[in-house]
Parts: sequence; structure tokens; C-alpha cells
Amino acid sequence: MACLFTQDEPRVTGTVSQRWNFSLLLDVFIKLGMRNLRQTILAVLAISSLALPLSACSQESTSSLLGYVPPSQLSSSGVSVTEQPGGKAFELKAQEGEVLIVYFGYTNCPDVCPTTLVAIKNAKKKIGALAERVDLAMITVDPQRDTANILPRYLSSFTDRFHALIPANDAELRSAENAFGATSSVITVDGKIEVVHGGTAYLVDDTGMVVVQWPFGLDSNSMANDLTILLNERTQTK
Amino acid sequence: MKKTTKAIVVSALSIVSISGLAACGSDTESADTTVAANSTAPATPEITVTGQWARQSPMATDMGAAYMTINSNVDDELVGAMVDTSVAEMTQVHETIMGEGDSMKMQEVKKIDVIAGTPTELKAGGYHVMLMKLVKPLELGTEISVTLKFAKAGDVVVTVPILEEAP
Repeated sequence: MACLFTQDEPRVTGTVSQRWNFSLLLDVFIKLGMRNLRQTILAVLAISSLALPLSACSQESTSSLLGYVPPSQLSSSGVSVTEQPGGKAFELKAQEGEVLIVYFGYTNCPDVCPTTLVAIKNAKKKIGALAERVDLAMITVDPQRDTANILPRYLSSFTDRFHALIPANDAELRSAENAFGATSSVITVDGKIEVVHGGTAYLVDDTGMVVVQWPFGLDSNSMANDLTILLNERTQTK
Repeated sequence: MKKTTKAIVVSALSIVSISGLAACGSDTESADTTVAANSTAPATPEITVTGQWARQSPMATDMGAAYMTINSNVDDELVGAMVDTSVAEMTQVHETIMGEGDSMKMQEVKKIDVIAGTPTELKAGGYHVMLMKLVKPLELGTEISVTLKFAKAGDVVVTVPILEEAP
């Protein structure tokens, strides 16, 4: 039932159609009059068909996540990007019982990237102590300009817990992008550097599995909602 | 008779399943609707700017962005923007364009059409005034002055507060 109450419109549709379903079934029962076993079995079948879609809904507890749950299983397990400062390989997965937010961006991005990073910062403020189990890894898609001096300082203005990941070469960037189905490009047009990147933030669990994706523009309340659900799920298993 | 009742049950089955599915159907996002105010266009172009703000610039970057909602009593065009050179060396009007999938890029635009009576929004992920080569970081709690250049209304100076997020 949970999924019926996540959005206004389906809620109305769902409730009305279920009432209608019950009255229709009652009608069928009366018409059948339960005269023989065969008809009873058919009626029971009809009831279970009502129960099935409902139970399918309740099993989808992820439907109360406000981000996008990818239909295919994306995993970044075993994929690493060079972290700066230090130059060590950072594997793109959360620590045990935590969630890692993976974001592809660049610092010369005054519009899209700070919008998402500020929303993440404010979402963390809204979830209290749970925020301690939220980690952030930003992979720059513009490693030529986003050097070890710049990216960590940039991220420190949004959060105190982060990993500044600067791909050491193109292959490293592409292998990270491939894990998430992300793409990016940096080209020079008329002397101006033009960067194309995805606006999605990927939430990865401690196995490297992408558990939810946040599209650009998702507000901090929605992010806080998703983080709370994901972290509470992980508290039980921790 | 038996065949008829069976048919009723079978059709009930399918209707129930379909409506059950519809109940967990995909999210439908309600579209943001903006109702245009009816206005007769007087001779003098008049611009009103509301909700203006510029993003606190993160450390380590010399790029900034300013946002606002522009209202005009006549059809006009925003053709450029300017800030004092003590704030940024260069100011342009930009648009973030969504490409395939979730890909996006920024590009300079020559003008933004401002339709009479319809608010024109400059907001994150869309149009924005881009401040390039900031002389110093845009600090929270301060203000900058932005001059907007319109084809008909001319220069409009707006005081823009520095905020973390849209007000």
C-alpha cells in the first residue's frame, strides 16, 4: 500500500479503483451465488489477483525513495579513481553501513554543480547524526584544470567529509563513468573550454551497488528523505 | 450460463489486475503552471525584477552565477549584463542546456526574450547571469550590483544579495 501514498495523483486513482474492485467482486460473488466449487475457486482466484498487485506495491519499499532507482543493477565495485591529495586509489564504494554519494562535475561550473552540492550539504544538515554516515566523492570530468590544489578546496566549502577524485588519465575517468552509465566531454570551441557532464548524483552502498540516483534539481528535503531511508535500512544490517 | 459467469470472473480478473497496476503506476509530475497577467502595454517599457540572488562562490573557483525573475510590461529582450570590474572581469548571459540523457552544458546566449506580463525566470539549470573571473569570492551576506541591459527598457540596475540557495 505504501506506494499508493507517495504521490498525490496515484493516491486518488489507486483508492478509487480499489473501492471499485471490491464492489465489482461483491457483484461477481452475488451473481455466482457460490453455487459450486468451480465457481468458488474462480472467485478466490479473482481475490488473489487483487491481493497480488497490492503486495507487489508493499514490497517496493524503495518506492518511497524520491530519487530514481535504476532498473538495471549498476555497480562501481572494484572501480577506483585517484584521490588527491595523496594520489592513492579510492574505490567507489561506501564504508560498511554507510552511503557514498558519487558526483561527476568540475569546479568551473557555477550553475549546476554548486546547486547539487549545496542541496547535499543542506540535506545532511536535515538528518542529524545520520549525516556522519554520508560520504561524498566528486570525480572531476575536467582534470586538466581541477588540480590537487583546487578540487579539495572547492569541496571543503560544501562538506567536511569528501574525497576529491582527480582521474590520472582518460582511461581512469572513462572506467568510472562506465560503471554508472555516465558520460562527459571537455572540448575547446573558439578558444573557450566547453564541458558537457551529467547532472546526476549516484548513491552507492558498501558493496558498490548504486541504490538510488538523484537527478539534477532534486531538492534537499527529497535528498534527506532518501538518505534517512537508506541509512536506517543499513542500521538494521550493521 | 456457466460460460457466462466464467467470462465475468475472467474479465473481473483482468480489470482488477490492470487497476492494481495503475495504482502503483509511475510518478506523474504536476507541471508548473504560470498564469500570465493580463496587461495592456503602455508606451513606456518598465522592468520589475524580483527574487534576485547570486550564489555564494565556492572556494577555489572564480566563477559565479546570479538568478532572478524578470517582469516587463512590454515584450522586451535581455541582451546583456554587467557588473563592476571590482566584482568580476567579465559578465555574460548563459543558459544551461540539457542534452541526451542527463548531460548538460552551459553556453552563452545572445538574448533572452522577455514576454510582456509573463515572468521570465533565470534559475539554476536554466538561464543565469554568469560572473566570470571573480576578483574576490562572493561572500554570504554581502550584495553586488548587477546592470541588466534590455533592448527597449535600457539599463536596469539591480541589487543582488549573495545567498547559499534560492530564496
